[in-house]
Amino acid sequence: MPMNVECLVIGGGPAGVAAAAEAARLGVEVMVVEERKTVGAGLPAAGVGEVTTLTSSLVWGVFPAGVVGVVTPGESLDLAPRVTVIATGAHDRLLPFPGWEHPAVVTAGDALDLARAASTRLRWIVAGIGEVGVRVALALRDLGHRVVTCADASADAGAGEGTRALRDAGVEILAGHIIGRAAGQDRLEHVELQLLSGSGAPVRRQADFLCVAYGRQPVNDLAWLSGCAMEHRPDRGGYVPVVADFVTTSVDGVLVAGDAAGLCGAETAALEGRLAGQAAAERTGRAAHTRAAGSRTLLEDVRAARTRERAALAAWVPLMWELEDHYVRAALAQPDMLLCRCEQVTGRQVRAAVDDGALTPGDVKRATRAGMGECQGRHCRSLITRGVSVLTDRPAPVASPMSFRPPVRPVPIAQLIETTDKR
Amino acid sequence: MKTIREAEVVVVGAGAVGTSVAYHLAKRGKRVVLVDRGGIGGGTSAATFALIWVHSKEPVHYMELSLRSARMFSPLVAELDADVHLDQPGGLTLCMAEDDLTKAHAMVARQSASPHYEGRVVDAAETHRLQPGLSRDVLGATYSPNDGHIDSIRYVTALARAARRLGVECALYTEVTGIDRKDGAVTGVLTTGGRIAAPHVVNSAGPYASAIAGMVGMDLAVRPVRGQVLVTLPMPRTLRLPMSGVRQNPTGHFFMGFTREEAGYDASVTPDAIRTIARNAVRRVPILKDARLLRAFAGIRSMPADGLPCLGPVPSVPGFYVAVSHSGITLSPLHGRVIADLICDGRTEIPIAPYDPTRVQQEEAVT
Repeated sequence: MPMNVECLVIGGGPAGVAAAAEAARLGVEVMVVEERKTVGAGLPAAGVGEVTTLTSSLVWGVFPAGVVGVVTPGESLDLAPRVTVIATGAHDRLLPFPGWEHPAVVTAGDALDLARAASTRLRWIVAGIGEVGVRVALALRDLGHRVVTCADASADAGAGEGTRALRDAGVEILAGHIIGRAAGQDRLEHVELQLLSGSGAPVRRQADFLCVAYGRQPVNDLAWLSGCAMEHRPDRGGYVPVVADFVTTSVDGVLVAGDAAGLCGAETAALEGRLAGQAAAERTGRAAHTRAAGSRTLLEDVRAARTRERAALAAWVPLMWELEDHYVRAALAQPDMLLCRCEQVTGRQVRAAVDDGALTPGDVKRATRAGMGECQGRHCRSLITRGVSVLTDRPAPVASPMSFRPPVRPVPIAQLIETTDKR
Repeated sequence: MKTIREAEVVVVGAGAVGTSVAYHLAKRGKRVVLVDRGGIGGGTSAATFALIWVHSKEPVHYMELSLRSARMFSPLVAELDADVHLDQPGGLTLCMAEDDLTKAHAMVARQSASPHYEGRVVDAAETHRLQPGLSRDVLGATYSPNDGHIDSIRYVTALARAARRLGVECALYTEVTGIDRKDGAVTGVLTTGGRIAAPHVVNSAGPYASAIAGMVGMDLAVRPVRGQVLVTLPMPRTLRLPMSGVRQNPTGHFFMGFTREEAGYDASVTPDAIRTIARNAVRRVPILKDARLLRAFAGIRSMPADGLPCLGPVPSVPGFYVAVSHSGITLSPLHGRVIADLICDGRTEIPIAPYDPTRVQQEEAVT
């Protein structure tokens, strides 16, 4: 039998931690499941309620009756939560430029992990969109690495404080430039950077790694699997659950907070987390009296924070979609550009599938296997959808996105079949 | 409703059976429209275990029908000009307990009534010789050289492509809402995209065949049965033969499954079933413990009331044909061939009398 849990919080980032802390403060028993080794700071050591954390653990699926499957390092566990808070955050995007599958091409998050772990000073080229790229370039510099060049897709790069700081530190700033190609056999030999407009000759730069900071997308797999009504919100970074009062999804007992509800900053994430924590307390009957006191202003705070952040997102999110369109169109026109790295599906194969009658991303998936590989479509899902919309001349997103299937990430069978009660 | 197309045959359902029927008809010069409420092969065909299975099909005539169809794959696939990972090296059903062995001997004895049956019981030593990678717990198996497997999605995609090249028109993401008749005989199909006029309609709608049959007042007892299947990330090539319950694709992916559940049209997977399937598979092929689960999915499969195919004309509704069976992949070449024979020649040399679609009727509803 699944284990009863009062409130399950999926994700130990700013939103998840805030949700767990607030729910616990209001007397709810909370379990936090986090894929990484640690959760963010801010969980109460001992509160009114209790917080159990399962780290290095993956929520691998959501099943009928809201049962949530978790694999911990030791075993497989089924949970039956009264309330689930999806706080899975966002993932970095990769776009299909020639050479995007080179091992030295990494996303912003992976770049920082790599930089922290590196024992030598590495040379980086950062290709980003406005603040998204600038922030990671600054972080790499702060970790003691050398950023050779920062190619910023925004034409007005250079105005910001961060960019000035990079320039002062000797980083070359290429405004309005995007990645043309990354080349090299084992090592990265050079990166071609070119104007987004396509005019002018590309410039070549050399580095150990190319960090791609072309934006993020909400991690929405568990919301899809939970059966939440979803909507495509380009301004929020892609598909997000339809919500009422910011955190309440269409599925009873399923809440969402932070980037998973639509791209936002840490401040909004924490506020939404708190709001979700209160909603969880209310739903579990722990906090009928506290809600009236606190939540009206909290709701207003979340609204204000989302409004404030809208401007910041508007500075780069539209360019993220423009770059996606740019690279996917280019990939469809070239003979061997991969659109799905895991299954090695090229733009030409996607074009052939559409020529053979595929109408939807799901049709292309079946015809080409795009999206069926190890990353579970994380990187290619949006690209294939874009490709189908380009090829069928329909606005993105075209109907019926590729389906989501558990596990949301590959799970070792040995872990999966290990349960405390051997059924 | 406005008539948008005219055809000689409308095939309802673009899965393995429907695309095969459309392809075989087009090869014989018929103008065909293939209708599906989803895309090509988007239903059961995309969520099947994809065995081409003969040796344990009972009764004997059903085994013989399956054998006939299994032998059609090679020439059919050669015509498709696509790599669909067809592999027919023979297949095994493992015996893990003494009782399984007893049942295996009894099954082989019954099937041996057919002169065409090539299945036999093999002992543990021979099982291990035939199949690397098995657990020492395996006591024996039934083996037949006629069995195999295929990549069902590639296969259906290739069939559809070939059918299109022969002129088959597809009306996809288009739902059938009714069937027009005049004096009892079929005259056209009503869809969400308009009316398609045609004197012949083939019901190859798999688990939804009952609803399509209902449109001509026919009572066809076919119910949905859920089967859950697991797929791993690619592993080194280990298995030589596909087995009931575990097989390995040429790509290295292991398939494990399936279940047979009464769950209506609910295509959910369940953690208990996933673990049970994985444990059973690990018990048979121990290296699966080192594999990583890539995907779990459930297919809604069609199950006629008596388990046997429903294949043939419906005399009370001239122009209406049924091609529905539980083993849609295995029987797809034969179903295509038989329906093409019936529509083009009015007869077929393949013995289909036991599969008369009018034989299975829903039980009277108890009120």
